[in-house]
Order: sequence, then C-alpha cells, then structure tokens
Amino acid sequence: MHLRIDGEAVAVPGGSSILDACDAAGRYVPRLCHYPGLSRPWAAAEGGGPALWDECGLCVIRSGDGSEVLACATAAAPGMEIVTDDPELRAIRLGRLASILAGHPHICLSCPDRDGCSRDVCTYGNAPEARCCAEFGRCELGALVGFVDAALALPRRAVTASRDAVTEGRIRREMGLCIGCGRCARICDEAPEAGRALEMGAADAPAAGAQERPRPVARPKKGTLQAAGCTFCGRCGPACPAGALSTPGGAGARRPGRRRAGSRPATPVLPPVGREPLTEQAVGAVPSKAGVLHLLDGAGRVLRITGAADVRRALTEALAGQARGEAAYFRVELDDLYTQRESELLARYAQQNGHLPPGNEVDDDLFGDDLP
Amino acid sequence: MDGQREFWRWSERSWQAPDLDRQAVTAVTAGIDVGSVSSQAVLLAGGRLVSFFSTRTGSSSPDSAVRAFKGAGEPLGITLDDVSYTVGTGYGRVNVPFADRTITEIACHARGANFMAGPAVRTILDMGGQDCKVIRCDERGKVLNFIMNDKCAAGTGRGMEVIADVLSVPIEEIGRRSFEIDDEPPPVSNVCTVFAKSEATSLLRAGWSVERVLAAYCAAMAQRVAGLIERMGVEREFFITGGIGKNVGVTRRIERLIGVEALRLPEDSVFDPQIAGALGAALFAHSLHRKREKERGVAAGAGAVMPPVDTAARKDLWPPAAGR
Ligand code: SF4
Ligand code: FES
Repeated sequence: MHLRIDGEAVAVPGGSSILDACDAAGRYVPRLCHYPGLSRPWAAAEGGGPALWDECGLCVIRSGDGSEVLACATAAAPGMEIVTDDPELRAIRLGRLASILAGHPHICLSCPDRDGCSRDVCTYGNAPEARCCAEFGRCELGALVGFVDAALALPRRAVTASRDAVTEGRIRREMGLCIGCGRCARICDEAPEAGRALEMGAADAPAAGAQERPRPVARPKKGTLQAAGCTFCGRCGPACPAGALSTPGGAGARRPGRRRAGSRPATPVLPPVGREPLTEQAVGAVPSKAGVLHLLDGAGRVLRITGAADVRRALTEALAGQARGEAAYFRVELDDLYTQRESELLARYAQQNGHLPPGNEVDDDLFGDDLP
Repeated sequence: MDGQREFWRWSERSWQAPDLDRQAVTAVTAGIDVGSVSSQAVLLAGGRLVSFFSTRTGSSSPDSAVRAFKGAGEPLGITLDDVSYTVGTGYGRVNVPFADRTITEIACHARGANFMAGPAVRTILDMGGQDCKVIRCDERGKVLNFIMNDKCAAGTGRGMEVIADVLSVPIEEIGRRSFEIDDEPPPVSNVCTVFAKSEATSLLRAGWSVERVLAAYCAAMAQRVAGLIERMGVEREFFITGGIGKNVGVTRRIERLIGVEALRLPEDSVFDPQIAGALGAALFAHSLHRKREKERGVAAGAGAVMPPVDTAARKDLWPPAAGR
C-alpha cells in the first residue's frame, strides 16, 4: 500500500504500522517502548488484558486529519498523509520525555564535562545516585534524549534513585533505573529461548524527585531470576534502553548476547546523528576556527576523528582528497582545546565500538620491522 | 634548603648514551611530547636510543618543545639541522614548530611502552599531568582501544603536586613515605584537589602523621584509577607510564586493588616511564623517516635503506646505571 510521509510517497506491505512506514521512508520518529520483533505495546490491552507497561508516547505523529496518534500503535492505511515533525509534536515529545526522566537518574547527560569523566568523582558535587550508570555513552535512552531534546530545553534535575544492583548469572539488575517500557518483560515472554521470568509490576515507592505516579517497573516473577525460571538467555539486557538490565560480560547494553536458535537479537532503530554532506558549499559555511571534525562514509559510519586549528581548512583538504577516501559526510564541534577534545571523542568512539575509527589507526608500516 | 622550595617539582631528567661516537650518530629522529605539565624529548640514531630529556612545560608550548629538544640534543652536540624527522605528540603537539608530523599521545604511549617494556604488554595505564588513560594494545604496540578520565585532577600529576605542596614533601619521596605507616588508613573520602588542602590540614590537626595522610591520599587516587582500569579490563602484561607511574605509593596500591602486578623495568634500565610518549613519537619518526627514504630511494633507483628498529638489541639500550 502507498502512503505519504512528510510529503514523500512510500510503499509498505500490509500490516505495517505507521512507525514501520516512517522507518521505510527514512524518517526517524523517536520511540522507546517499541522494540523490533516484539508484539506492539498496545496488543495486550487490545486483547482485553491489562496494559502492563506505560506507553512512552514519544512516537506521536500527526495524521492526515490533523489528529495526533502513536505511530507504533496505529496501523498504516493506504493513502494516509503523515507529518512526523512540527513544533507541536516536538512539544508533546518533550513533555513525555520529561516525565520519563523525572524518575530516571540522568544528570550526566547534560554535563559540560560528560566526556572524559569516569563518574567516580563529580566535579559538580552531584550525588552518586543521581549520576548516569555504566552504560553512559552508549545507552539508548541517552541517545534519545539527545535527539528529542537536542536544544537542552528540559530542566535537567538531579533525580536520584536506588542504585542497589543484583547480579545473577550473566544478568545484572539495577532496577532503580527502570523506566517501565516493558521491553524486557515482553522479550522474556516472546523469545523462544527465554524463561518467561520477568513481569511488570507497580513500583514500590515513587522515585525521589518524581512528580508523577510511579511507572511500573520490571521484576522477576519470583524473588530471584533463578526462582522465576530464568534461562539466562541474556536477551533482556540488550533490550533494556535504560541500563536497568544488562549483561556486563558482553561489551555493553546494546550488544546482543550469544545468539541462540530460533531468535535473533534485534537492533533498535536509533536516532540519527547530525551530519552535513561533504560538499564545497557545506564546508564553506564552516567557520575557520579550532575544533574537532568527524568524517563519515555514505552509510554514516565514522571514518576519522581529527582535531584541527582550522576546521574549515581541514575539511577543504578532506574534500580535495575525497577521491581517495570514501568520506561523504562530516560533523564539526568547535573547541579551542582541540587536541584534548579529539582524545575525548576518540575515547567515546572507542568505548562504543570497541576499536578506533579506521582512519585513526596508525598505518601498519609504521610499526618497526615490517619494512624490507 | 631555601624557604622557597617547590616541593611539587620533579627534578629535570636527562640521559645520554655513554661512550657515544659522535661521528657514528646519523639518521637522528626525534620525538617531542608536550604535555600539560611536563615536556619530553627523545632522540634516536638509526632507531637506537641516544638521548632523552624531561622538563616542565612552561607557559608557552613552543618554547617548551624547543627547550626539551635542546636538553636532549645539546649534550651530544645535536642541533635541529641534524634531525631527519621529528614527530610531535601530547596535547601540545601542534606547538612543536619543527615537527614533520604529529601523532596522538595515545598511539605514541602505546608504541613507547611496547618498546620499553616489551611486546607482551597489552594494557597500559598512563597517568599523566592532567589526565589518566587506560590503553589496550597489540604485540606491536598498536592501540586497540582506550578509555580516559580528564575532568578531574585527582589521580593525575597535578593532583599529586598539590598534595606534595600542602604537606611539604618532595614529590619523589611521596611514594616511599606513604608506606612508612603501621596500618593502612582508610582512603580519604575526597580526592578533589580543591578540597585537598583543607582536608589534609584537618587530618594533620587530628593527629595524623604526614605519612598516614600521604597513604590515605595515595590509596584514594589508586581507588579512582583502579575503577577506570576495571572499566577497560586488565589483560596481562600490564605496564604503567607517565609521571605518577614513578610514585610507588599509588602504583603498588593500584596493583593491590586490581590484583595484577605491573611489569617492572630491569634495575639497570635507563628508561623513565615518563618518556613513553616521546619515545613512541621518536620511534614513529624513525619509521616515517625510513619510509620517506625508501620512497626516495625507489624514485632514484637506489637501494640505500635505513636499518629497521633492532628490537632484539633492545637489551643493550640498558647500560649499567653506572654509565649514566
Ligand atoms: S528493565 Fe529496562 S527493558 Fe525492562 S521495563 Fe525497565 S527499562 Fe524497560
Ligand atoms: S514507541 Fe510508540 S508509544 Fe512508545
């Protein structure tokens, strides 16, 4: 069937949701409780069952008649006209994000010193319970906040939550971080290898600093995961966007655990990061100032991160050398201390990817004995 | 001792290969590491260490780079004209006016540590003047991954300087004296350098010995750094570079916390863990020089190619301490 997303025609198979259609059209719509491959958040409620998790409401879009609907929960219909972005939609998303953040520690996300900080000691004296968790820098919720609140419009408060953590087998639970999206409980219910050990329940007490009714939180159906029949398949960790459930052995929350028969770990669609095409015109608009630039390939993968005293000049050089490299896009960040900033951004990249960007590797022939 | 003594200063460090035949010194390559606190220069001739010099970074980075180079070159009569290739590194790398190329301090530290401590090194802890990095590298000293902490001076050279100054203990003695205690005190709760002064003073007033306060500080720094190391994971061999790498009060406590002993240089080694960055830069300079010569050689149809870095002969870069 055909419909229009932001004026562009797109064809999707029957049974698609509006969110699927937006993805097919390459228009990113924020989403949190939606997770690829899982039943839709509304399915249980529609079937007469209780809605066991809160809809995040972030995927709100405007349909042809001007009404606001949830893209993940609405079936696409032929001829629909969808608007994915306007000031009102942005405001609604911000409001919903604010209520999610009201119960989840997040102060590090907006800290000017966020890169290069180990979060062991806080320069600004924020309590450990208000700081971000070990998934900082690679967590899905953080990426989402960066997209929905790119202008840092939301007041960032020192929300504290209990940071007690339990590790059973390969699964670590820090349930004070749970935002109640229900992804883990659904995956535990629906993945063939999982043990149906998790459920959503009422939070014991409102998180400190929260102004609204507590969101439901995930918990094992019996006291421990083991007692609840957990198979320790490790699917819930990568599914959790908030660091509440993780599988620390694997390198990071979003890295899927070992794949088992019958079920493949899904990769959630993440917010796109800003980038400009590497063209003369775009480069001409960059100021001749000190900073750090990212060069990206056509698929948006980072090729190289370099600090330069004059980012425009460095980009002009990259442009000239374009035939040799495959750089298609760039991103700049102005910073006078650009050598240090370069290291920080390299460290951030290395933490997320487990290696340096390909263009930052020192050539193999500079390691001594390789030359004849 | 004059009343104006600056306890935080590491003395300048200089070394030249003994019995060097000045005529035989050709194909000199230089590595200059301009850090936020100290600057180092390392000179190689044909890939072999001939000289290094370590000094404090002044207010002008270009001056510091020149001063470091002169410190290493002058005793051997080596001037900039004698140098075939220079690589600048460190946060001030762009302020090495005579550099042919700059390479990040991360790559240089790994390469330098690999050369200094051998190809078995996989995890490097670099405790520099204003930041702390944990680097994972392969057997050639090529960086695979790294993590850093630079927002807090505690656990870095600057933090240690503040403690040295507050307690009037020369920085070289902190490590040793921090073990002159009967039992290990709890780490201080706040290693923030901003509060260090008042906290140290109140501990002294509460009857703590200077040694005990030092121990509590070293332990707190070690705890912070150990947290960073654990985030990366320690893979053996483990080696410590940078200024604080010379402070056993911190390094031994880190080893205790992570349960892995750091590789130690042989007693008679001339290497100073602080020159790892400059050494790596000089090694890259050597390889870059050879590469350039080779390209030129190929262009001219000649075969005059420099010898590769002789890693097997590394042992004779460690002349007896008496030779210094
Ligand atoms: S634990 Fe994570 S995945 Fe599960 S409901 Fe909470 S936030 Fe969602
Ligand atoms: S993604 Fe649609 S409501 Fe959460």
